Amino acid sequence: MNGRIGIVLSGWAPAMTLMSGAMLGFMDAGIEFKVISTAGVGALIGLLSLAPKHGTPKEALAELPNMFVSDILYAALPINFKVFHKFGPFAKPMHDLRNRVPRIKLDPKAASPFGRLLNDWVDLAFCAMTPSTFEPKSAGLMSPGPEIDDLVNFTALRGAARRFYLNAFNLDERTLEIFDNATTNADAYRAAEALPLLFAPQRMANGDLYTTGATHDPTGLQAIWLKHREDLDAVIMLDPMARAIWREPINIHDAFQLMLMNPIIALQVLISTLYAKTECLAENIRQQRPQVTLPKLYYVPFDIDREYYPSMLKWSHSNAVILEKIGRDAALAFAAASRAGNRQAFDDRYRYCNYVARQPRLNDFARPFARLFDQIREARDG
Amino acid sequence: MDEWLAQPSRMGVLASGGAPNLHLIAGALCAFYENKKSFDIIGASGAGALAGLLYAVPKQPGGQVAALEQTVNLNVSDAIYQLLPMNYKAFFKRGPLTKLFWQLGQKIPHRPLDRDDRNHDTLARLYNDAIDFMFAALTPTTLNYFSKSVCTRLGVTDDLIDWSRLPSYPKQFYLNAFNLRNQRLKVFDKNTLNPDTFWAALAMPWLFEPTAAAGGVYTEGASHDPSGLEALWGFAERDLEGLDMIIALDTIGPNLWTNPQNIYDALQMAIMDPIVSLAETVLTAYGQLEFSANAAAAAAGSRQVLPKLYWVPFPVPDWEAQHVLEWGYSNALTLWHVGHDAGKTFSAALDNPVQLEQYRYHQAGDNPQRTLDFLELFRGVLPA
Repeated sequence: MNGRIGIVLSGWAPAMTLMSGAMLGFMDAGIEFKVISTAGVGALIGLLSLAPKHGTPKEALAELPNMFVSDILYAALPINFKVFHKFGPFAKPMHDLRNRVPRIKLDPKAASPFGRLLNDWVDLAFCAMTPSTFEPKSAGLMSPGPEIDDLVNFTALRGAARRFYLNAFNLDERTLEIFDNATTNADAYRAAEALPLLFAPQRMANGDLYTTGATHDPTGLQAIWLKHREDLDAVIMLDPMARAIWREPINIHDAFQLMLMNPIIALQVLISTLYAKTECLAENIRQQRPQVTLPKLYYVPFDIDREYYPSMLKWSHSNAVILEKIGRDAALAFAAASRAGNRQAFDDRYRYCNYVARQPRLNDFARPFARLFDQIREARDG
Repeated sequence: MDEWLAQPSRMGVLASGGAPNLHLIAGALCAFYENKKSFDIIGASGAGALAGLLYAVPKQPGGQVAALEQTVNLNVSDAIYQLLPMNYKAFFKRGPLTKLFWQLGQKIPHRPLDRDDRNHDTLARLYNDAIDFMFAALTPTTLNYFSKSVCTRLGVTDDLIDWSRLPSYPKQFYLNAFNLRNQRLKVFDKNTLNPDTFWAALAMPWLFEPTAAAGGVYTEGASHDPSGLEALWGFAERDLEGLDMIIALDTIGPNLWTNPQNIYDALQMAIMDPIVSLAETVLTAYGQLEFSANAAAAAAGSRQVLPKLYWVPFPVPDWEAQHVLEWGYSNALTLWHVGHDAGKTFSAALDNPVQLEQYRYHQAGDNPQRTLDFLELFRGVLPA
């Protein structure tokens, strides 16, 4: 794939290593992105890809599986107590205190069951000891994580040559706001992660309250069509994996996550489908109207066994490592296919509008608009 | 059956999903009925289906108006709701004895609720709801980590709908559901809708287990197409060709986007937030596209090519905005009357083409900023 390329990153938090793996794969393949636009947890992956506080982007991304929980502990307590903090003002001081306790240095890819159990036991103990001020009148279950200050160098982000975006929804203005390199800071990140119920709306320096933008544009594509429709040739998105969410639950915890994710994934699929249809139409009419531009949309499919879908929502270390490998392999395959020189075959497989045409569910989404697009195309041609 | 109800109107109506929408939509449909406005198609999603069915085939003697007025009785007396902010009359504990306990509770005589007292939270309502609360509290539950949902479904509204009359309803009725077996939307029509398929189409994940019906395993369609519009295009395209307009009854929309007052509020916001965004996205996209296509057709001297999309806004008063997700009785009444007033005003506008155009979903430059930003996607692609 040649030319000016952007990527949109969004997904579910427990499956974030699919994204980090894909970014690692693209880095290994030498593909650079002029623009990284993100929604929800995709913001963390985008920020680590551009401005990590420690080490190189590759090192920072490769470290992510260590944010997940030891498999032994997770089997007994299926919660990620390392990144979700009890509600209240004690969360940050206890987090800072916890970080002063020495840990065993672990290879993020290695299972290291004993070392991981010991490390995570410390985290669990601090989590248990953290006093909470949660009560029924609280607006969220948890406090936003202070980790972002340890992970991202926001000063470096402002000087980065590549463009970065994350979205958050302004409750005061009822508008989806897009933050860029200059305006993204830890507060903006926390606002972008503030999924209702899990976190209370976050107040920004302007005094307004924000919740996540992922419930309004879970794709991150809006920044592309608003700010980069002329200066990008293509944009890559990762497989939304809707098929892994639209299934029967296996337990009440799983059911709760599916309930939260169902409409968000539906919205993600709808917006990406509309985008794909529109950019294909734009390409068709560009001969008549050269000013009509919209970057082509490609997607990176993930090959994941159906039996594994429920495990994708687990915060266990083994799941993180498995998904990271799947993401990396998928990105490498995508990069290899783009360089193979067979443009037709590449577009057939990876161009999202071609994928939409093959998928019955995506066709369903597009059906109210398909006839309109056809009429518009006919009007243009005719 | 009223004669006017069977006459072709070339109008369709969307009764959208989201439980708080129920009272808004019931109020609006009641006003439409009182003003003798009928619809060739009712496209329903989620809780909007109950109001739609009460408009089409109510069972009780008072007909449509009485049936649509009584939706507010699903909510809980304020005196109880202030102590326990849950709707134990619509959401029942998970367990095998739930139905038995509910039936036992129904055997205790309840006080009749006088229609004249509808606008008051009366002692009779408190008494009735206290009995229901007592039996809900006594009901044992088997909810555990391996359960697939927190609630058990009881067909408490089945008696409100005359299912036997539905197949002979002179107009079309559609309700969407999501089939997990093939991961596609399915639409039940008046011939395939029955209590089983109705509840399958309302099986919201986590609250209710996916439900087997009519050869599929279904969850709520409103999590995929809360507007009901997408489903119509998939399954009722021929019927749509006979429509001049589609009327979308608003979702609770911007009123939802507030700072939650408590954790229960936050839970409902978490459920509704993406659903409202999804409905808004579908309607915004269709509204823009039909507006452009019809404008281009008009400019070329052709007839209208697609049903125009209109929108009935529900102007919830500011003092109520924080409470739209609550299940208290007074909230139900407020929302019902907001819906009723909106339906009455819109009914009048239907007879006035100039006034009607103010209700067109696509409002060009007058759209809110979030809508304008979304519509930028189509810049240059659509006819100017």
